[in-house]
Amino acid sequence: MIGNDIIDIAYTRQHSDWTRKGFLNKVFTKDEQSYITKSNDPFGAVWRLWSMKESVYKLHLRSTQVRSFYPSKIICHVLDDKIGIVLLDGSEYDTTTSSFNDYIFSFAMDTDSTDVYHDIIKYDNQLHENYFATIKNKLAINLDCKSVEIDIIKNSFGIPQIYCKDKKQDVFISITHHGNFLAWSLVSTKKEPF
Amino acid sequence: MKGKATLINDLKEIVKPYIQDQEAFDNINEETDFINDLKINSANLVDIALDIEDKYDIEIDNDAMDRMLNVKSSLEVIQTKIASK
Repeated sequence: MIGNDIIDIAYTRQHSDWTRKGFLNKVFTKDEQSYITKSNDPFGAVWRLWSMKESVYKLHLRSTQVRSFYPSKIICHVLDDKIGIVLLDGSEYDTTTSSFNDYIFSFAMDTDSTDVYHDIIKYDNQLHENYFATIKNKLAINLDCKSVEIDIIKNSFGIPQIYCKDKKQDVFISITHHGNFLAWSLVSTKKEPF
Repeated sequence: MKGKATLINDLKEIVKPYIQDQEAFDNINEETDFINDLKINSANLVDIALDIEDKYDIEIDNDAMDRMLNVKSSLEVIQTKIASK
């Protein structure tokens, strides 16, 4: 299973105020709050932890199929500027985070595969269909299937599933959109790399 | 005690700044889902919980916030918390 999350920094500065009274307590554990307040970049720390939580929540949702909104139950441990460990409902997940000036991207995976592909793009609403065409072209090569035969369909939990000729495929896809960024991650359990 | 129609109206005002789907917002009803229908960013669900706390002078603990993914369960949380004030 996989999960990813992207945070548009400029959009977040405009639309979310983490310094708002009560915000930290609703989202973070005491240890996480201590990590944030001690950080040289509290804003970056807040949203890095958020993206770790969100990516693991998305991964977890795939197996539990139970929606929830309990961010402080998803417990983060930061190992270094990229790697983190996240605990949720007795399971432990590894996360990888990439932080840049304009976005933060986190990815969580518990599937035994080294075959992971990410694409992070500037999102333009007008080009929505083009992005899906790109994803389908990428999948077509891996799945030995024509891109027109591929469907990406969200299930009732909002998790996208990949079909080729109406048959569900053994490829995990996670798509995340925030502000002006869209990212998608593919993990194949097949031998051929993306 | 406020009636349900008033509460829905209050809630509509509270979620308004965060919605990203105007059509779903215009057709808001008890079944409306904050994320799937109104396309609200998950970080803004925290703001909604905080706005509700401020509006009604109630405390929404994290267990209660967990249930607030749609209009119906949010109304239930608000009603329960107001009643136990």
